[in-house]
Amino acid sequence: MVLIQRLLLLPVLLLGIAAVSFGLSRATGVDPVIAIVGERAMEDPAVVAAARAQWGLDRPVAVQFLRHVANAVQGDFGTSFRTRRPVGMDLAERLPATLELVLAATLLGTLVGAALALLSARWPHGLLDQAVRGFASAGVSIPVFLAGLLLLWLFATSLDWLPGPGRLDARLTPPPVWTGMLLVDAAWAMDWAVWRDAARRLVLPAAALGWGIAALVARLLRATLIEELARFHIVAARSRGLSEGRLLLDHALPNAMVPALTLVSLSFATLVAGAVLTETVFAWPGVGAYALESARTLDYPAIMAVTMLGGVALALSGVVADAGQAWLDPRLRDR
Amino acid sequence: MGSMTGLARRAALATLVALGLGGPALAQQAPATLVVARNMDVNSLDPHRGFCDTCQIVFDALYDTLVTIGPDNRTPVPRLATRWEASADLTRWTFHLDPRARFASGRAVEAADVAWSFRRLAATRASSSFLAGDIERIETPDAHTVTVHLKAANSEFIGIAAAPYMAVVDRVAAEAAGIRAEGEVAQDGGDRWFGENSAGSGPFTLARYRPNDELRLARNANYWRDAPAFAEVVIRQAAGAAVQGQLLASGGADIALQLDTETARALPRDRATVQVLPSPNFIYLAIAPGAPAAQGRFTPEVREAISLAVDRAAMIEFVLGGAGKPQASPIPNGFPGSAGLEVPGTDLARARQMLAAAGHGRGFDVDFTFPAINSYGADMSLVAQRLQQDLGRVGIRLRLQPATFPVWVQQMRAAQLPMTIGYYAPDYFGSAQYVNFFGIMEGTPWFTRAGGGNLPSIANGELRGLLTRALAAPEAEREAAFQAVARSMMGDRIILPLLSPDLVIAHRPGLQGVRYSTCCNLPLAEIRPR
Amino acid sequence: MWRRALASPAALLALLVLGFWVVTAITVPWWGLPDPTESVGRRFQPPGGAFPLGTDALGRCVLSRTLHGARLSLPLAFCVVVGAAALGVLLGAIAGFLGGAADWLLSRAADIALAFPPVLLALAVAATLGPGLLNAGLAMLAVWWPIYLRLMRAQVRGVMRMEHVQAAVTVGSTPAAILRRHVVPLCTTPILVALPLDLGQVILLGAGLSFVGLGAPPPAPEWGLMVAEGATTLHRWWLVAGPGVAILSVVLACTLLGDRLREQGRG
Repeated sequence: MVLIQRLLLLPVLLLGIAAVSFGLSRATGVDPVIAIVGERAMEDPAVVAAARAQWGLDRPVAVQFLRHVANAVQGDFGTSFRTRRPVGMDLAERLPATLELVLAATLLGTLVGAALALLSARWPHGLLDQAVRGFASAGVSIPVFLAGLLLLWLFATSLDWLPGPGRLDARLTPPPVWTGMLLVDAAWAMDWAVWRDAARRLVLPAAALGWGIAALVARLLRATLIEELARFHIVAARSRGLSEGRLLLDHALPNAMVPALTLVSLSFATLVAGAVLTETVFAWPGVGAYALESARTLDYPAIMAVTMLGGVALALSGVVADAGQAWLDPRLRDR
Repeated sequence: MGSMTGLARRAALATLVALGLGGPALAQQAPATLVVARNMDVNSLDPHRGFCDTCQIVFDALYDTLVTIGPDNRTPVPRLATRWEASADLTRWTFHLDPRARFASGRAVEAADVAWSFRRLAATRASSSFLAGDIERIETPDAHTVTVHLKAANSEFIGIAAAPYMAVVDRVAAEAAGIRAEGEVAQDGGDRWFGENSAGSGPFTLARYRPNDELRLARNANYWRDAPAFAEVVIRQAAGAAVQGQLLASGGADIALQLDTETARALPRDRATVQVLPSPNFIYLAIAPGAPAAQGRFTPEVREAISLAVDRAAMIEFVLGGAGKPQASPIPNGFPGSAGLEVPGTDLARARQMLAAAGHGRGFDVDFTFPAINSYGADMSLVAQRLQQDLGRVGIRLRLQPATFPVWVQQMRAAQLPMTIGYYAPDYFGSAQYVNFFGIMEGTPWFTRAGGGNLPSIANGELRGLLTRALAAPEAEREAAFQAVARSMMGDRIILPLLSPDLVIAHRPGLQGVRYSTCCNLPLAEIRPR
Repeated sequence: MWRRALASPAALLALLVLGFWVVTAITVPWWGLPDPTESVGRRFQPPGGAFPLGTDALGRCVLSRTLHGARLSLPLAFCVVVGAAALGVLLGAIAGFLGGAADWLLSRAADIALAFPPVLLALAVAATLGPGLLNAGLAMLAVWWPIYLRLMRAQVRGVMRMEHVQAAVTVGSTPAAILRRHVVPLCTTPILVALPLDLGQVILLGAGLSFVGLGAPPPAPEWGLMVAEGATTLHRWWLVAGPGVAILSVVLACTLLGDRLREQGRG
């Protein structure tokens, strides 16, 4: 029920997002034609008029907006001022890079966070627990751009353990595009040289982005695990002589995973946002870096498409969180 | 405890996997590929529409021009044309094409291709179209002879002909794809088609282009001159000097083009050879006496005082770490008319005196909007902050306001900025572009931006005549004629060049032939392994 | 609640750190440090001597800039959080109390604002209004108010379902009286608990905006801006170290304090 309601509201949400992003890009009072023809050609009225006509900027603003929405409904997001290609094509090329980064960060963050929480909950209030809690607080307190810069400097520049910025060594031939995610495509094509390089390059940005997730998961999971361990049936199991480790893994963890996974899926959109800064620091050719450049140049077809994509991602992550929760927790299924 | 050991075992396994990933870097580096790291500002790969620094590099690699500028960065040398001559009045230029020249398609380059390409450049009405704007008509008496008739004398047409935007395109291949040189040129889909194909006679062909990610060029198998040393060139997106430096240091790139001296100095010696070259790029302070916000303050005396307050040497030291040159006039160092001009000096006492005499003894506040970008290794924000300190010493208090590029352009064009800073890199080798852009005379961008509409008295009455004379001057008198133009512009004190940043190019040690070119930026075909 | 929260050493330390920064922000102009916006030495001097944290590209004292930075980041973040809380609480109370069309409209507006990833919305707003401290503040306000609206709306609706409140409605108490007597006392705690955590996150977002050039204009010693200036020359670690430690310490202190408050609030 809640699910259906959410999906029904999605169009309203998207229209709102489109209006806000279009309004914002036009509220500047800056002529978007500057983004197309550049500083010097603005002086030539013939050039400006030609560009205006070619890009439909000679029509009233309301008409431009409605045309954009009508086209977007049909899957056409217009042509980017900057790349001169359909925005859909740009996004299709860049989305997999961001997805790969965000998924890797989520995976890494969840696993590390869960491991820390387990260690912490096994010996609560000990030295280890204090360290984990300190890490968890630090994790949500460090700016993602600073974390990225420090990781790069430490592991790529100083220690030289991992490669520097970029998604793949330019000298390697990327595998045929199937999903666009290099690790998947390379594995599919069994091109292990590419897979290795791509994986090595993914570690640092995923760590910079996943750090926050690890901290969040560690905080929440630790708290719920300790709560669970104190619950009646666990106490009962303990009295039957089960080891603490077994208790933690077999009884407390499954129950505690529900809120943690909900949190992870809900923070998916936050990760996409963090990707803006991470991609800038690591020269990662994803949607985040694309969004930043589009905002700087007032490339509004691109800005609108990116913000709408972000809205869809956020709405979907809410849906996924609900569905996942229902699936994991039988008590919620009937509601 | 059993399960905890299980956990520990799993953790150990994970560590092993991580260590496996952390092994030695890729040893096999195919030397056939050259990787260039730079910020890709490409707006189009259509050679008659694109207009950017990266475009210069790419067009130069994909297409041929009639002539090019030699390694001395001022002498024209043959490319498609083996020889050329101009009429005595410098309005008619005849080029004789090399009969060996072939497009990548295998077809011979003909005079008709040149005429078609120049006509198309004018017809696209793009940022670079002005280069073909002075062409009246083009004659092709035979397949290997092209005569270009200009509307007015232009002693610098040879420099224009060397600009990569004057690319000669295979008209048969292009027309087959629907590309037009007349009629519906605006809708011919050139942006799309040239983003996936190239149709030139240059040393490389376009292999793949992903905007703001990477651009791959492959050696042209049918190239009609000596084949380039690298089979493949990749231009890889890397915004900012820090990322470029890291790419170079980690072996991810062979050449980094947009470094600042600080980043370059930090690169390990065994990984990077650094060249610091003088450049024709420059950053200027612009004063708009006619802007309403200037409130009529910027009289010639006040402008001179401002010029006297700027410490150019200190600015080069603080902004560029010393890697730059002062520049006297809006015509940059190394271009016709720039030789022997003296750089304005600093004299704070005199500046204060002049301001007091003009009634500004207590100084004044003024808004200072500037583009928040890093151009040619110089951080505009540092320039602005340094300027704020300099002018603060004589009582002119700047209120700094960074702006995104489109906002800055819009306000500047509307004469809303009483003062600002800007930057300029040449579109071709020739000095007239500076007069047509910076000259304070009716019809130029800076006449409008300086508020000439409100205050026509700022116009420089002699400039138009001086320019016409320079453009009609025979070779021997050209330098002196352009110098007169430069001096006249210096006297206006509306465009005050602050510094000319040196180009910092870093590349891995095993390369040679990496250089900067005044026409074509980085000639890719000249680079080869040592 | 506060007293119990402060019993933990971590929270006490956090409070000390915050106290240090607040005192610094207020008194630093009288400390006799070099002008944070003037070139007072050679460029890129390493730490030592007259400049304990070295100098930056323009020869300015990094220590002085870092300490003066507190005068920008802290008040800005404080204003944003308080402003967002005030706006969100007001609208959330209206939505939760009135229900119906007003609730729907306000909730959808909040949904739309929340549907933008925060950095993107702030980017769009800051790019529109132009870079600047005030505009960055407005951009962050646009990101943050819906969070409080949701929080407040949920609280109000929860309280309204309580039996004694229902009873008050039935006997015909005025809305103002119900709000004052029943809703406000129960809703303030969760809001107050959220404040320190959000303060830290707003400082992070502000630093991010400045990092990409959409925050405070130069030569302001804003921390994010200083990190951005130092990011191009990471081997000169002192450029990033000062502002980096400043951001980290303030945000960490806010987080620790918020965590403890939250734990106490829950327990």
